[in-house]
Amino acid sequence: MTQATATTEIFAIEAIQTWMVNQIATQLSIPAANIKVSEPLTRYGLDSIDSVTIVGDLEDWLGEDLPSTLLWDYPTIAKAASYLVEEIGVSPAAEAA
Amino acid sequence: MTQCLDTPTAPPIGTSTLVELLRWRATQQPNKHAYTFLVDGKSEGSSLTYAELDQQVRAIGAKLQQHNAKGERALLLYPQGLEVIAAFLGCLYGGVIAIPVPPPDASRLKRSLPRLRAIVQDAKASFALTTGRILETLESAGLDFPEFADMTWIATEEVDLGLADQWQDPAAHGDTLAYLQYTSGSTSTPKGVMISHQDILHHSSYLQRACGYTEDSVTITWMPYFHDYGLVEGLTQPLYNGHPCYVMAPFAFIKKPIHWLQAMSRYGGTHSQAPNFAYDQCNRRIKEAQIADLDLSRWVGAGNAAEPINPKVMKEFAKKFAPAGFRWEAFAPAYGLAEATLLVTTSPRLQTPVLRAFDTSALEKNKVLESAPDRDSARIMAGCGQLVCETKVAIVNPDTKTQCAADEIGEIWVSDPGVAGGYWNRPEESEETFRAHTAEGEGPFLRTGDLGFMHQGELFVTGRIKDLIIIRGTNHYPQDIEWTVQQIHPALRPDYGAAFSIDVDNEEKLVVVQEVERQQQEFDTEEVITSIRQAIAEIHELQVYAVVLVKPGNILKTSSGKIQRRACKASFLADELGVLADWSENPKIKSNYKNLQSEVDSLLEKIQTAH
Repeated sequence: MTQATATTEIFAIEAIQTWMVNQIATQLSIPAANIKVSEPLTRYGLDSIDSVTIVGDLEDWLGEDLPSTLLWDYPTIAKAASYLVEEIGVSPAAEAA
Repeated sequence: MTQCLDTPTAPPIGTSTLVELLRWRATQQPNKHAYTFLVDGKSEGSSLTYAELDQQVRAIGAKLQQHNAKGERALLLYPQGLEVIAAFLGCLYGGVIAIPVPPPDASRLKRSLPRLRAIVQDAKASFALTTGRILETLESAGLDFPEFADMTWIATEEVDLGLADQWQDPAAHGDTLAYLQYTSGSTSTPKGVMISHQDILHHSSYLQRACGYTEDSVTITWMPYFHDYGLVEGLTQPLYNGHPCYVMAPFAFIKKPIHWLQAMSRYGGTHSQAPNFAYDQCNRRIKEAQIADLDLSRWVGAGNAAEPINPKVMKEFAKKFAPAGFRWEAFAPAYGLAEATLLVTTSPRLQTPVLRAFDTSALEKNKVLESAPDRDSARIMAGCGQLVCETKVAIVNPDTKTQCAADEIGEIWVSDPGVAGGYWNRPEESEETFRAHTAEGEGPFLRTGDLGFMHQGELFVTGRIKDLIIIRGTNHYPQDIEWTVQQIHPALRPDYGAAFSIDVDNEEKLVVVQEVERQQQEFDTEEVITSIRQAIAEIHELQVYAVVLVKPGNILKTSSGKIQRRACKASFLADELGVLADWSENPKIKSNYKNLQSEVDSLLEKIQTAH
C-alpha cells in the first residue's frame, strides 16, 4: 500500500466515525461527546431496530448497499468504520466533496 | 359482524388441511405465481409457482417420512424467504408439527439460545429444519446443548427434489396439529399454542371474507414467519386465497422503510400488514421527495395490529401518503392473538376506520363514556374493528367472571371454532385460558388477558391484565427483563425488581425499578445503570426509557411472593419511590417526560433538579 492510499484510508475512517458518532447521538439523544468509538454500541442502549436504521442511513450517505447485520458483525464504531473502508472500500470523501 | 364478500378464489368446500389445499392449487393452477422473494426488499430473488412449491414441499415431506418423523415436532430456523415457506409446508406434508421460531443470530448466539433451548425442551422437538448456513454457524459455535445434539438437523435446500415422487399423503385431517406458535409465556416457561389444520383453514376463510381478499389481491409481507401476523395473514392467506405474495425480510423494511412502500407500488399490493411502529417509521424516515414516485392507490387493506394503535400515527401516515394515492379507508386496525389463530376483530375492507373520543377519567374507572374530541379530558382511541365474521366476544369482569354492562370495561373473552385447542402439554393452563366459563355459565371462552369494551359494534382495547410488555410488536415478559437486570451486579437484589411499561404518547416505554441490597459496599451506580441498559439492549433488543435504583422495601410483593408491578408503576408515576440513583442522561427522555400526564410532573422536576 502506498503512503497516499494509507492516508486516504485514515481520512475515510475518521469521516465515517464522525458521521456515525453524530448519527447515533441524534438517534439516542445523547451528547456526541459521550460516545466512544471503541465501546460496543449496545453500551448506549442501541437496540436492533436502531442498529439497522443506522445501517440504512449509512447506505444513503455512502451510496453503497450494506448488510443489515453490519453493526452486529462489527459492534463498535471503530470496527464498523474500518471494515467499511478496508474491506468494502467506501470513500465518504467523494460524497462529502 | 363484518360484511362477507363473495369468494371466487376459495378452495373447494371440504378442504380440511393445508396439504389438500396446496395439492389442489398445484393440480388446478400449476403455473400460477405463488411467491417471490425480494432481496434486501428491492430486487427480485427466487420465485415459485404452485407446482414448483408443491414439488419442493413433497421432497421435504418425503425426507421427513424417511426419518419416520410423523407426529414429531420440528423447529423452523430460517432467514425470511421462500425456503421457510417450503419447510413449513414440508412439515405438514410429512405429518410433522412445525414450530416456527426466530433463527439464532450468529453474532449474539449465546444470548438468543436460551429461549430456543426452552422451546426445544417444552415441545420435545426432535427435528430442526434450517439452512446449511445456519447449521454451520451452530456447529462452529461448539454449543454445549445436549438437546441440540440429539435432534435430527436437516438443511432443506440440500434435499433432493427427486424425493418428491416418493412422498406419501400423511392422511392428515382437520384436527391434526399443523404447528405450535410460541408467543406465550416467559423465557423460562414458554407456551406453544396448538394450531390445527382446521384452525388455520377456518381462520383463513374468515380473513378472506373480513379483509376482502379477491382474485385480484396481491400481498406484500415483511412480518416475520415466526410471528402469527406474518405466518397466518402474510404468508398463508395468499396460498389460501390463491394470489401472489411478495416476501421481504423484516430488516429490509427496518433498514429502508421506503422499500416496503416501493414494493407495494411496484407490484400493486392490495394487502399488507404491520404493527403501529412500522407506520410510524414510514412517517419519520421516508422523505417527501420519495413519495412522488409511489402509487399506493391499490392498497385496500393496510392491516394495523400486534401492538396498541396510535391514532396520531395513522392520521399522519394517511396525510403523508395521500399524494401517493393512499386512502384513509384502506387502514384496517385489528385486534388478535395467537391463541385465536390470528384476528378477533378487524376493520373491513375500505371501511373508514373508527376513531372515537372517550372521557379519560371515566376510562380509569373502567367506565365507557363518549366525550367531545376537543375536550382536555378526551382520549382519542382507534377502534380495532368489528368482530371477524362469526366470532363471538364477551366482555367479562376478570375477578367475578360476570359479564360487564355495555358501558363497562372488562376482559375480552373470545369464542370461535378458530380458537386454538390449548397450549402444548399444559392441560391446566389450557383449561384456564381456553375453556373459561362466565359466572352465568356461558362458555367455553378463550381468556385473552386484554381489557377493553365493545362500542357500537367496534372493539376498543384499553390495556392488559397480564404484566406483559409489548414494544414494537414484540411481547416481553417482565420477569425475563428483571432476571437480566439482577445478573448485572451483586448489589442488585435478586427477585426484587420490577419491569413495566408506561404510556408515552400512546407508545409503550420500558421502565426498570430495581432494589439495591441493604448491606452493600459502595459501587458505581452510573456504571451499573449503563450495564443494565446495555444488557437489556443486547438480550431483549429493547431500549430502556428509565432505570431507577431504589432502597430496599420499595418493591412490594403479594402474600404469595409475586412482584406487585402495578403498585411499583403507580409509585414510580407518583414519584413515591425511595430513589438511590436514576438515569436521566437522555435529553430526549427528559423532554418526553414533559408530554406525560400531570401525574409525572413531580418526577420531571426531580430529574431536572438532580442535574
